[in-house]
Amino acid sequence: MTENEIKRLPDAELEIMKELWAAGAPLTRAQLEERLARRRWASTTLLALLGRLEAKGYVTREKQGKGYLYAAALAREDYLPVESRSALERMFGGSAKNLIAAMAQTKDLSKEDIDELAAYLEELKRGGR
Amino acid sequence: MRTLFLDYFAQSLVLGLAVLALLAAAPFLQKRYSARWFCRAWLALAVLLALPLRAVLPEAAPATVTLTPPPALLAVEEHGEAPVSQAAVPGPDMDHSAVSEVSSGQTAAPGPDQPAGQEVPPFETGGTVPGSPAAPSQGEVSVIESPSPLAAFAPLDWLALLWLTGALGVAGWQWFGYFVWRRMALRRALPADENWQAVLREALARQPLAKQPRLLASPDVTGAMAAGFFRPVLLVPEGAQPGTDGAYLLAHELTHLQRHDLARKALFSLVLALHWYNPAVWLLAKRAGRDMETACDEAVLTALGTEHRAAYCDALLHAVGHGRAPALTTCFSLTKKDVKARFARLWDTSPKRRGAAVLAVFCLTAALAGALVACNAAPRESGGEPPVSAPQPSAEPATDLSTDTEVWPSVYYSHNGVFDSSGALSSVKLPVDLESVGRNRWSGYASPDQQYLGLAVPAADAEHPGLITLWSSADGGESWTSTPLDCSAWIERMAEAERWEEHKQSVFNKSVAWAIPNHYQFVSPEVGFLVFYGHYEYGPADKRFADTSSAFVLLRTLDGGESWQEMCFTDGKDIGNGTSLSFALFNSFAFLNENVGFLCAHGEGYGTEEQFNLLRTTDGGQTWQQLDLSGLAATLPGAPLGRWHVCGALGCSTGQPPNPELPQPDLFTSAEAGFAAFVAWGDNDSQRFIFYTRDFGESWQWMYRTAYQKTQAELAGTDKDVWPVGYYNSLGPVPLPEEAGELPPATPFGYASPDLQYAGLAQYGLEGEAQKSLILWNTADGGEHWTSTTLDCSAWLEKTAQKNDWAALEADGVTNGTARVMPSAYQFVSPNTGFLVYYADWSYGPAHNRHVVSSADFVVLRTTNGGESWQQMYSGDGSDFAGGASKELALSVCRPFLFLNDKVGFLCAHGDGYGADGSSNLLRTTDGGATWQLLDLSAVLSSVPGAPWDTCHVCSAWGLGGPEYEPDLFTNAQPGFAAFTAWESSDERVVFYTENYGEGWIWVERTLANSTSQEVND
Repeated sequence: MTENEIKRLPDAELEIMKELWAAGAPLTRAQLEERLARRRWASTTLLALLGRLEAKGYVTREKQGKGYLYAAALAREDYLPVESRSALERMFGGSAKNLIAAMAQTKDLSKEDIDELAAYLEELKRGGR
Repeated sequence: MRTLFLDYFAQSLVLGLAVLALLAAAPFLQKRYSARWFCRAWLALAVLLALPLRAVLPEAAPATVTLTPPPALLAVEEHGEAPVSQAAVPGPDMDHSAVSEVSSGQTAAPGPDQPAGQEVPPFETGGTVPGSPAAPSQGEVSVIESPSPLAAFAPLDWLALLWLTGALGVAGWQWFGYFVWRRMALRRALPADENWQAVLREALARQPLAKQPRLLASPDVTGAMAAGFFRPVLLVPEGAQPGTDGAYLLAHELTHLQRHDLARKALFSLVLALHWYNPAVWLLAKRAGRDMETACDEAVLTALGTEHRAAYCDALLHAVGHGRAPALTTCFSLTKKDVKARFARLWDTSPKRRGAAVLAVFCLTAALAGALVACNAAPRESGGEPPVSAPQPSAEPATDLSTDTEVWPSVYYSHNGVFDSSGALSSVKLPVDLESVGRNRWSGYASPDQQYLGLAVPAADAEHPGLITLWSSADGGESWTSTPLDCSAWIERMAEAERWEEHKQSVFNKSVAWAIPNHYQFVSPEVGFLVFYGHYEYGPADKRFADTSSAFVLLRTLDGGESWQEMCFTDGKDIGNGTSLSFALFNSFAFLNENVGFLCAHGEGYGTEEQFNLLRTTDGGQTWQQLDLSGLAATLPGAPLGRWHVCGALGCSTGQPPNPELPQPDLFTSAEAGFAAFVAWGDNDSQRFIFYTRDFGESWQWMYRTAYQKTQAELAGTDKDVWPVGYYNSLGPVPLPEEAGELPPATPFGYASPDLQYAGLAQYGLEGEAQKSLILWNTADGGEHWTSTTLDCSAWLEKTAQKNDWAALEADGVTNGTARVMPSAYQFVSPNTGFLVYYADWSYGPAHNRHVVSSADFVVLRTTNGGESWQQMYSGDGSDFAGGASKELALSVCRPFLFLNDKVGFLCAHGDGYGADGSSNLLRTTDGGATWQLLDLSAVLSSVPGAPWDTCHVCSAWGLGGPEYEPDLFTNAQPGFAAFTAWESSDERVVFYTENYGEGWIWVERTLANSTSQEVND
């Protein structure tokens, strides 16, 4: 499967793929259901989605005991470029920072700046105790 | 759109100045106040900037409440410094004046109540001239003549369009960008690994959150961050391990979520969009972002403990090192200086003030300034100029005082006796034993349907000064809930002002500072008022002393008692006539809705000065004005009054049993919103009135308090100078007029005033023509000077002689019979008002054996001008008296008349049939002698000694000048008093007397006060 053949996945299918990638190992349907409990899918929904992914060749299935083990056939590294920033995202990615909270968002801080800050902090630690 | 633009533009300028001022003061304030304080201030400013103040501002004055930035108040209440901030919110005079300017400014505006954007006349093309009355027509002309619609588009419209475009652009850029970024980041992220999840679980155990965030590992972030308003997500860099910093990073982000910082950021983003052209607003957003981070740092360290400070700073430094945001990052990113400042503030351990009051004052000032300018922005077409002078105050007083709130038309006031054992709500189950509380220490109310009830009861003890328990029921008393209200802050201030502390030093036992509810009333399920004052008890258990505050506090709630706001905290010196008030009395207050209320002010100087002591507020109690009721006072019976006293409010229960005596019983049951009633007292206790209004106190009417009061007032007559008692049929010690010459031996038919200055007698002629007239003698100086008037009665005398056919009595051939006019009563009841009653007699027969017959006919004359002229009130023989014996009267036998004033008089009727069959012979007139009615004395006669009497002979009237008896009835007699002796055939004898013009009678047995007194002369 080349990069050009990989299609951008719908949200629901991507969710399943992400769980499989995160697990790093094949999962049973019950395990998947447990990890995707927040989506509150019916069992049939999950099965249908897995069927579609299997049809696309992104997921493989292997019989184990009574049920099946599902494994990701598509590597995340192969898929991520498909998801990578569109022009739109490149354009707006920065402005999102107004609406998120983070401990530190800096720009243009050089190594020297960081060192200076570290020295200043050391000074504070000494003086403050 | 243009109006909105102008509103926002004006707000932008003024609030922008506020932002700059606060930024300038920040380095100084930073030393005193924490980053959290700054966050609140920025947030308040942002709220003010985001709200279109003119549109949200109601027209009426209590806009203060609406204007107060909710987050600021919220923050204040959280920290329990309510009284301080509450004092600051509605309190300072400056704010009141500002508020009034706001409202008057609205009045001056062409159309605050019209849809924005329609009322403002269009501009002339190219014109920036401020609007004038002529502007609209000119504008219209230009519209009509313009060939292209665009030509009518004034520069201001272009500006407004530009503003809107910019606002949409900025908002779109930020929000669209956020959603694009979020979608991308979430799609590319994976659930974070177990190490991170474990750190998160630990952090959540320390900082529980209502909505648990998902923790994702993203290849698109370089440091930990939080995103998402409804489904919060935490993002950590993919591949990174939590390490030692992880716990701090997550604690920081969770604190952001806990503090709702993302919602705040959304608000700042909105403000940025609305005010995109204003650099001050960008500075505000930047600074607020930084303060939010610092406040978050503070909160984290507070939660974790200061021993984590160094490690936390290390984590922050590492995050800074990694956290280089993409180049496109526009805002809120940290520079080296920022990080340094943040470190410095983290290590700044000096104590910080909470500063709630300062914050509240700052926010309110900014709010008022913003509102003031916003309110003036639209009509002033120059738009951005702040007003240079206050708008002209509106000449018209606000006449519509009703509000949108649905209020009860009247309520039960607790101290109208409603909760008493005989009161209208006596069957309601109360949660407390009010008798044990003490009658003057609680207050309460009930709605007209008796479903909503409330009681305010003091609940203080040594540990809980100023505690009040508020009881409420919404189901007619089936169930009650209690809410404690801590009023200690006010009580402390009272204690400080009145130096109660000084007493504490001599205290043996624990002192208790009470907050005593004086008035507790809801006008609807939501809106209520509470008035309390301070009461400080101290001293040993067996001998407690107490101080009562001269100040009182008025609180109002608009949310059913959830929160209370101070409307007034005063000792009375800044309201009404400026004297301190007394709150020993109840129902001094009455509220009609959230704005309008009344106060019957009791205190020095009230109720005099020809002004009733009724104050009114139209702003929920913040200010009070004494009402001018002189128009009402002029219509009161007996006006002008000497006393101007409104006592207390009357509510629902007054219209129901046990008081059926209201002359207009439906007054209360038919009440509608705007109705209020008060009891008022005139010069004496019998003059009691109800003052009532149906239009929030704009106009007033009165009625008598009870039917009895009405009767008494009517019986009291119009002459105010009547003597309560006098010398009847006697001049007392006043010397007889020498000019009168020889007087008949019998007691003169005269009178004297109790002070013996006024006296008079009616002299009848002894022979000849003199017998056809009466000479009326009068003195006004105790007998030094006398004046006389001769009253010619010859015509009446002739007529009466003919009617009685007295000539027929003569023996044949003898014609020496003579007719004579005889006085039966001559009595003045005051210097101006007097009565004369005369009849006729006929003497005939031979000189050695003259016979005399008297006429039953008599005449009652009245003067109301001191005897200058006389008016005939009655002329007849008494056979037409109501309830009388239909018999002719015998007036010669004694002196039977007594008058109390120009209306009321009594007559002891003698003649066949009077006094028999258990009835009395006492008649009364209430119209100055024109008509007479037999009084029913059976009630009092049933209890006299020897009752029932076969006959009751009420004989003569008692006045001054006779022997002294025990008990003494005369010394303290008031107008309305009259006393008579009554006999029974078996010689039982009592004195009947009345103190209310003959409405009710009392009997008493009297004995001579000393044995040397004269013989009883009846």
